[in-house]
Amino acid sequence: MSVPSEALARELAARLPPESVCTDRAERQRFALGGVPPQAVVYPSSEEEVATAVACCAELRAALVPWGGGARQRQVPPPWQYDVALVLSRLNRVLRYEPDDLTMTVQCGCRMDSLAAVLAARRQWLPFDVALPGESTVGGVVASATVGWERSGQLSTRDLLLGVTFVAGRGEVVRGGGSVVKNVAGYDMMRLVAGSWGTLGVVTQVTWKLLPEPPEKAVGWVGCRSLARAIEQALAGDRVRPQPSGLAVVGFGSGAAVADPQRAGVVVAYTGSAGEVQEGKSAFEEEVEDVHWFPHLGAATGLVRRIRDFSLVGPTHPWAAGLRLALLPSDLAACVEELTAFLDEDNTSVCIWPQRGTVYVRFTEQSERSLMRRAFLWAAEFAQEHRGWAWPDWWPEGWEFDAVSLPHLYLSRHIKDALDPMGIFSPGRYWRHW
Amino acid sequence: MTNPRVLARSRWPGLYLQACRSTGAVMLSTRLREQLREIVGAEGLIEPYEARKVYECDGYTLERAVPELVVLPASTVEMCAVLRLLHRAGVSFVPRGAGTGLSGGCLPLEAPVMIGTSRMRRILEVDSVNRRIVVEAGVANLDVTRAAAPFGLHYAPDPSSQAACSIGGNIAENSGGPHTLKYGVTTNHVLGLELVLPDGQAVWLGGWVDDVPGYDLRGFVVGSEGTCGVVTRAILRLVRNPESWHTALAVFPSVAAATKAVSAIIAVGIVPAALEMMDRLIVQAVEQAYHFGFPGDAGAVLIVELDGHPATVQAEAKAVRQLCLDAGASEIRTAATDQERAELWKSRKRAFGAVGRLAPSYCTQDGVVPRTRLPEILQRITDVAERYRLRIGNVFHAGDGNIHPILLFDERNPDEVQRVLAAGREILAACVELGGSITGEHGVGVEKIDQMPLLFTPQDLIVMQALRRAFDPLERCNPGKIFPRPGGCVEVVRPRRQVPV
Repeated sequence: MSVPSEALARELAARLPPESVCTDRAERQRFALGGVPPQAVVYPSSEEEVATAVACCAELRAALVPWGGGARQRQVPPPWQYDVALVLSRLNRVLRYEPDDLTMTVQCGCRMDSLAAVLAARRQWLPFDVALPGESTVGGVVASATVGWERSGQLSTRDLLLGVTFVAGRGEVVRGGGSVVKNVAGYDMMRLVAGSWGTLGVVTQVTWKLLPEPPEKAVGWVGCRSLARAIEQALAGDRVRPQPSGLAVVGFGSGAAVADPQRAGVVVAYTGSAGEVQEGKSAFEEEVEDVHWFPHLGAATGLVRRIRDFSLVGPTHPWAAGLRLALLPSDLAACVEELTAFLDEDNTSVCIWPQRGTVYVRFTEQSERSLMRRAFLWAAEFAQEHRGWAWPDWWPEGWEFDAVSLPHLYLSRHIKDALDPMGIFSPGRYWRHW
Repeated sequence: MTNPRVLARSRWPGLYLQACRSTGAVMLSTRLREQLREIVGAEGLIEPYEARKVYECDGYTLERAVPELVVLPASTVEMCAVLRLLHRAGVSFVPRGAGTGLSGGCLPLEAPVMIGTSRMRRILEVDSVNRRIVVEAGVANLDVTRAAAPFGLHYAPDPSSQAACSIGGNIAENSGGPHTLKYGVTTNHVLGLELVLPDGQAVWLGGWVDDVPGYDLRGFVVGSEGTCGVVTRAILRLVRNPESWHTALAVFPSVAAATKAVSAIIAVGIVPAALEMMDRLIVQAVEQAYHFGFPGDAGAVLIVELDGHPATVQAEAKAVRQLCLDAGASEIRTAATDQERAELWKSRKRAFGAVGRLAPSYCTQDGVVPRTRLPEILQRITDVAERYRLRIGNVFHAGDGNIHPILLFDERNPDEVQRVLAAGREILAACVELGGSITGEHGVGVEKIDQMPLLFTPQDLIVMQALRRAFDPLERCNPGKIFPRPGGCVEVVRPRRQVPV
C-alpha cells in the first residue's frame, strides 16, 4: 500500500529545495520498477538532503528505493511498495584522492568510468572491472557487491571498502571504518552494507582501497566446440604457474556471438611484469591447446567488454531472465554437464568465472518460460547438493519464484530491523515479505 | 573471586553491580555447575582458583579478572548445550581463544563464565583442489599452514603470535600480521564460519563458495571481538605459496629517510608482501642484545619482502634497492637463502625481546595513520616523548601505516606510569587527527573503549550496538567490550603489556 501522493509530495517539497523533488509523470516513469513508477523522484544534492528525504519517508512510512545508474535494478525483484526514487546522481564528487596512500573517498553518485579515468592518470585502478562502468555508480556497485572476472576472482567490492557513510532508516547518518588500509575499530559496517541492495540504508560515500595498475597485460582466446570442453580447458589453465589473472568461459548464444562458428570458448588474461606475462602465456599454451593471443589490448576490447558486461546485457538484446550459481571450482564441470543437457543453446547464454566458481546463466526473450523455471529449480537443487548457492539475479517481468532461498533469514531480519525499523528501504527486494 | 582492583576502579555504577553479580557464588549455583559438568565432562570444567587464574587476562595484562568458572566444550554440540544452559540461567559469558589478544578482549569483566575453545583443535578437512580448509576454532594459526604445506599452500594471515593464537581468536579480532600488506587480513580469508549464538543456536554464516546471497553476516562477525557469539568452526581460504621471494634489510640514517623510501616504493606501484620498520632506539637495543652488526649511527632499519613470480620479484627488487639508495640508505643486505632470510627477520622478531633490556616495563600502542603521514606521526611521537619525559621506540608495519610505539617506563614510579598513560592517549588522538585509527590490529577490547568516541559519533555507536543485539539481544556475550559507557568503563592506572606485535 502506498502513501497518498499529494501528502508525500507536499512533505518532500516542504523540506527539500524545489530542484530536488520531481513529481512529473514522464520523469517518474523513467524510474519505474516492475512497471510501477514511484510517486516522486528526489535528487538530493548533499548528504543532508538524503538524510532529510529518508527522515521524511520514515515519518510517512513511504517506501524508498536508492537509485544510482539503474544498471542493476533488475538483479533483484521489484519492491512491493514504491513511493520515492532517491536518485543519487548529484552526489558525484571525488572527495579525497590520495594516490600515495592508494586510497580514494568518493560520493555515491560518481560513475565508475570517470573514477577509472581519474585513477588511470596515476596508473592505479579498482581491480574488479565492473559491468557497464559508464552506467554504474559507486553506490550501485556497493549495493550489489559487484565482483569482477579478473584478479583471479579473489577481490570483490567488499574486500576493497575501507570506509562507508550511509543514511539509516530514521534519517541518521552512520559511519563505519575509516580511510586507512588497516583498521579494526568497531564493527565492519562496510561488509554489511555492501550487497544489501539498498535495503539497509542509503550509501552516501565510501573510501576505496586502490591498487597499482599492472604494467603489462595480455588477453587470449581459446575457441572450443562445447561448453564442457571450454570449462575443462579453463580449469587446466588455472593450474599453471604463473596463474592467470583472469579466466572466463563463455558459451552458447554468447559464445556464438564472440567467435562464430565455435559455440564456446575461454578468455584468459595475464597481468604483471613483462617477464611474468610472457612466461604465463608460454605456460598456459603448454597446458591449453590453440590459444590465440590478441596482438594488443585494443584488439581484445570487444571480447573483454562482453565478459565484463555479461551479467547485465546480452550480445544483441537485453536479457529476459537470469540466474547465478556460486560453486566450488571443482564442481563446475559437473554443473556444465547437467546444464547443457537441457538448455536451449540458441536462446541461452552462459558465462563462467572458474577461479571464483561463479556461473551466470542468461535467457533471451525467445526462451520458453517453462525452460527458465526448470533451470531455476535445477540450479537451486544442484547448488544445494554441491555446497554452493543459486539464486535468480535477473528478474523476469511479472515473475515470482518460489525456489529462492536465502541463508540465515531471521538474523538478517533482525539486522534489517535494526537499521530500517520503519521498513522503508526497498521493501520486498531482499526477501519478498520484508 | 572478582579482582577487587577492578571493582574499586569502576566509575560506572552499573559495571560495579554487574561485577558484583559476577562473583559467582550467587549466580553460578551448584546445580548449574553440575549441569555444565554433565555436558562437557570433568575435563571440560575448570573450577580451582589457581587453575582459573591462568585465564585472568590475555596479552593485555593491565587489567585482570579471574573468571568464576572456565568451561571448555569439545564440540559444537557441547558448545550449543553450554550456551543454551547459560542463556536459560541468565548468565553472561566471555569467549576465549588462546588468550594472545592485546586489548583485553577476553577479560571476564562483567561475566562470570569463560568459554574456551582450547579443546576444539581438529582440522576437519583439507580441500587442496579448491584451496579450502575446515578447522575448529581452537586450532592454532600456524597449524593451519602446516596442514596446508604438503599441498604447496598456506594460510595467509600471520600474526606474530601465530604459533599460539587460535583461528577463533583471529576471527574475533580480524587479525593481521606482517604480510597483510599484500594478502589482506583475516576477513579476506574466512569464507564461512559456524557461530553459536548466545541462546545456544548454531548457524553457518558464509559457506564454501565465494559468493553467498544476502547480507554478509560472516563479514560482520569477523572482527566483532566475540560480541556476537562463539565461533566454533571455520572454512578458510588457502593461498598458493609464492614461487619466489626476495627479502632485504636496508639501514637508513634517520626514520625520515626510511619513511621516504616507504612512500617511494608504494608510489611506484610496488606492493611488497611486508614492509617493516624499526627506529634508532629499537635498532640500538637489538644490536646490543643480538649483535646483528648494524652501524652504531643507524637511525632506522627497513625490512622489505617481495614475493611472487621470479621475473616480477626480480624487477621489483631492483627498483626497491634503487629507491632505498635514493632515500639515503647506507647499507642494504639481501637474503640469498632461507636461512639468511630467517636471520634478517630475526632482527625484527627479536625487537621486543631486546626492548626488555632497556626498561623494567613497556607499553605497546597500536595506531594507524595514512602511509604518507608516517613522518608526521613519528615526529609527534618524538614530541610526545620529549614533553612527557619518556623514552619511546618504534617498531611498526610501515607499509600499512600501522604504528606500534613502545613506551618505556618503570612501573614502580607512579608518576612515570601516569605520564605513559597520558602519552599513549595523546599518540592515539594524533593518529585520529591525521586521518587514521586507534587500532589497526589489536582491537578495541577494554583497552581502547575510551578512545572510540574519537573515531565514531554517538549515533554510529548506537547503531553498532543495535546491530550487535541482532545476534545477542541481551548483551550477555562478552559484555563490556568495544562500546564506551557513560563515565567510562575502567580507569586505567598501570600500563604493562609486554607482548610482541
